[in-house]
Amino acid sequence: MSSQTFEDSRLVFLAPWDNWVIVLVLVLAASALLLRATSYRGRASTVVALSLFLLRAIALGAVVLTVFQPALRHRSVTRVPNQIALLTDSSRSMAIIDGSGAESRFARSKAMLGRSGPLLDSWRKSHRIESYVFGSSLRRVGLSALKSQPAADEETLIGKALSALRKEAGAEELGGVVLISDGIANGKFAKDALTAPDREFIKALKAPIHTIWVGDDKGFDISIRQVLAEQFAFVRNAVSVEVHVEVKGLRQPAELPVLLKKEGEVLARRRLLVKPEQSDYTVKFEFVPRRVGMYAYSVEVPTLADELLKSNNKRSFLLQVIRDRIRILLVCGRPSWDQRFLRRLLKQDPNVDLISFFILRTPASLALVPPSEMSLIPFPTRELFETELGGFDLIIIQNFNYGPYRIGAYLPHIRRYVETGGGLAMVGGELSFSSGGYYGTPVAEILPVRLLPNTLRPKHLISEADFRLRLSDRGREHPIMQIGSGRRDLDQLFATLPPLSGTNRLAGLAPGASALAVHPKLRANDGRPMPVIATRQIAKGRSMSVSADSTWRWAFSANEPGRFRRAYERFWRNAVRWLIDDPELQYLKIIVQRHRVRVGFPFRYTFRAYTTDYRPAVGLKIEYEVGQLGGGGAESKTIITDENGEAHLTYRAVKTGPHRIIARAKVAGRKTEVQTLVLVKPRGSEGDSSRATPHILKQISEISGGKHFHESDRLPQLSFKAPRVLRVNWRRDDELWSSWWWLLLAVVLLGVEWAVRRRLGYL
Amino acid sequence: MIRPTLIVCLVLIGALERDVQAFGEGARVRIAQLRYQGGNFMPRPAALRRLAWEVAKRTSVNMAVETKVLGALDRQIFSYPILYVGGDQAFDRFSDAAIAKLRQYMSFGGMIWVDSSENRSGGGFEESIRRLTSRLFPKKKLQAVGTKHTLFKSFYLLQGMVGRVATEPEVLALELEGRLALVYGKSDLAGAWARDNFGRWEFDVHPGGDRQRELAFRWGVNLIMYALCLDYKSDQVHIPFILKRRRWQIR
Repeated sequence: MSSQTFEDSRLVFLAPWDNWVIVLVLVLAASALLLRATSYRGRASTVVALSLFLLRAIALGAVVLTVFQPALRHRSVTRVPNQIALLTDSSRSMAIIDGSGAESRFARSKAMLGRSGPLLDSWRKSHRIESYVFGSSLRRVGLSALKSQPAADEETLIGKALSALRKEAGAEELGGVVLISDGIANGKFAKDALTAPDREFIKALKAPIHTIWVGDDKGFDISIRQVLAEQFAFVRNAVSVEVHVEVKGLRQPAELPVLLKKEGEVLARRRLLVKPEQSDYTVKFEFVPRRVGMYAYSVEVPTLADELLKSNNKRSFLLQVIRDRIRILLVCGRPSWDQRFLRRLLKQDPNVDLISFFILRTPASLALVPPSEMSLIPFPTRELFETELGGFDLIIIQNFNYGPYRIGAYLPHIRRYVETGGGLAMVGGELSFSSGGYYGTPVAEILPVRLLPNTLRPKHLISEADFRLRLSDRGREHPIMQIGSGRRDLDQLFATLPPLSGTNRLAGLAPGASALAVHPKLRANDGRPMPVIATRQIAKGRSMSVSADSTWRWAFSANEPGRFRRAYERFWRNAVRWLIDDPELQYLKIIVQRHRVRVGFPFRYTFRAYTTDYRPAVGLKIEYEVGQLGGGGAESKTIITDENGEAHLTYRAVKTGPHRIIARAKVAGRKTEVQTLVLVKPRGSEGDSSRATPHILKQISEISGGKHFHESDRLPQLSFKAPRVLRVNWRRDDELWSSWWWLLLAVVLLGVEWAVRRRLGYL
Repeated sequence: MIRPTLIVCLVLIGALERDVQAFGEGARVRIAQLRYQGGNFMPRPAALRRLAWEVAKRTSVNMAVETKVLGALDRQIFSYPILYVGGDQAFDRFSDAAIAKLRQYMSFGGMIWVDSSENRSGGGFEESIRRLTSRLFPKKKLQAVGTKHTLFKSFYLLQGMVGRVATEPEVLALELEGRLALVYGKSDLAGAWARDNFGRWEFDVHPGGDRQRELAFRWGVNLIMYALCLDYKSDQVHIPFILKRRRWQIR
């Protein structure tokens, strides 16, 4: 760095007075002078008056200057060189190896700067050179230290870097900028055309920005540019996903598989035929989410060996699957009061789409009238149990024997439907369970109870005696049986509920099933009380059995009418919600502040725990894990819920991609596990693009008055603003007012003026 | 050799084809008949039994043939969600407690079916029924039920009500929460159903004919079916729409 030093001198006033004192002195001096000038009018000749005026003026001038303390300032001044900022893009895209060389863009940039030493030295004669790297932020890095810098920033924020540079250097000192980048920008400079505010910002820098474009736009790359998918979807409703794929630099036609995956499992596959003359493609997927919850999906294209960038071949997205309305199929073997009250309850629920089919007449019923005079409709068995079966959230088989209606062939469909996430409830009656012929069928395999062989005599399959349900320990804690207002009330309620009339006899509980309520007298084959209300989880689905057909008596009761009726409604509503696996019934919940966050930014999440009667679970120990989905390394920790049944945590993800939060706790002695997902996104879209583009760099240089170049071995010769700022090396003031002759001059002049006036008789 | 095998087969077939039992009598659909003071609460004693038999034969409903006669304050009234009220003359006012109980019965889902055997409009029985309904739900009035209502197609496709007489086709009703909680017919349906112990019709129908008697039975079946299934039949028209609303599979 060289500088230009020179000396100069100038008059300065050293008076320490405030401005108002100076103004006062000037006003007084001017008044005195004016007063003197007017006092000679008509008394002295013009020559005399003028002489006296001049004498007074010079004398007052001498006095004023003495008051202002004039001095002669000598100084040595150096012209300070302004700054040339070398800004090198250190974002991830600069690590791409393209062009003819075998080096990355960043390595080529560093080599270019390294070979430009003589040119930089020539700039140093009148400029100071500072080297920076930029990406997510601007960082000063010496040219020698630049060699060891990686290109790892997740963003290329050119605007932010220039703004930081202006703050750091000061606009007056900036002689110019050399911006070295591949032109893949994020943030506000990411668009192809700069906006008016961006242009004004660049102009306000008042320094030329010379841009050096590193890279080329000829490399081969496949990238998933965009995935258009809703953030929310309805369960059992088709979801559309539109994928925009960009293929650049392709040399010959090829066929690419595009995969849609759900948490690693391939959901759908599309073949994409790509051609060299076309770069943008759209692929559409459709799939049907089967369960409520938060799920991570990804769209992937296999990475090929000669691709510029491999990270942009996959894009993840989250889908929150919610329920719009609950679609229930109610199939009933004959009209009954039980069917009537249950159907009415379901019909009254605005969240339920109920499709019910009742067998109003059997093949044995008398047909005394022609069909045209009856309102009977055919039973659409194939439509319900095959083509439309998967569209239901829940199937209720109420006192229905499948045999006469040729539904046997569809029973495997029902089993598969439940195994893949559907809900099934079988309600008792003389046409249900073993009496309905279900023993040994695929449906029997998914029920929570084991059936008796239907070769037994009817009296062994049915008990006609009235009985009062007995709540089991498991039932006392189960969401379905929370039909009272608290634990004590629940026991009291079951002691007083109207008795049920008869039950189907059962062999016992199926493996893995839970008996929620049992018969007070009847025993299963294993000697335990026979289950009357039982539940079971089968693969992804759930089933429930109610082996009585008289729960309607709870709804239609004169005793404690409102209470029993509410109990009935709660029981069946709880049952429906449990069977469809409604998340609202869970005892443990994870509430995440945001499901989509940027890497490195902390996000809050809360565990909320409930007791079995849905009060806050205070002091509950929760085990939890947070970590990248499929990434491993998530460690298990524990936390205790506070007085609100909540535990609050914060997590800062350091990796991108879907992250899973899992919470486990024991509620009423049973393990409960819930989980949710958070998509950690990169700070910017750095990983999306690979091909260098000069557009934005060209615009920046044009607006700022700089020049645009493509990369070469060395930096080109560039022009910058001349330095304007001076630095004072030393200074010396020669005080003029402190000279004796200056004061003497004033005294002598005033004395002469006085003497003249005396002589002429003007005193 | 053939005969024993045949016998065994017949026995086996008989065993396999036996009808399954119900959950006892308590699980059958049984019509209760309201007993009241004054007047004649059972002008057609054999009618309901006959109707129950017809319903059992014509439909899949597991009907109890015998009816249950109950007073309004009888606790058992809540075991029978359908309550038949017959009569042919004015009857006494119900007590306030009985009114409250009947109101609760209807509000909770019970259906009262009034069948007038009075053979005329504006008679004492009708007056008593109107007084009863106005006390049960003072803000509601008996309204005529349109022929497009589910009641007219709950099993058979029917037009105006036809019973022992065909001159009173209008069906009146009190509606609660979208269902008919009280249905009132004046065509003496029970008069058309009643048979004596020798199987003879107890009353002639007017203007007459088997068709009229058959229509009376169809009305009985429809009323029972409506009590059990409510608007099930009307629902059927919505099924294609509901099925199409959810696109649950990729076609």
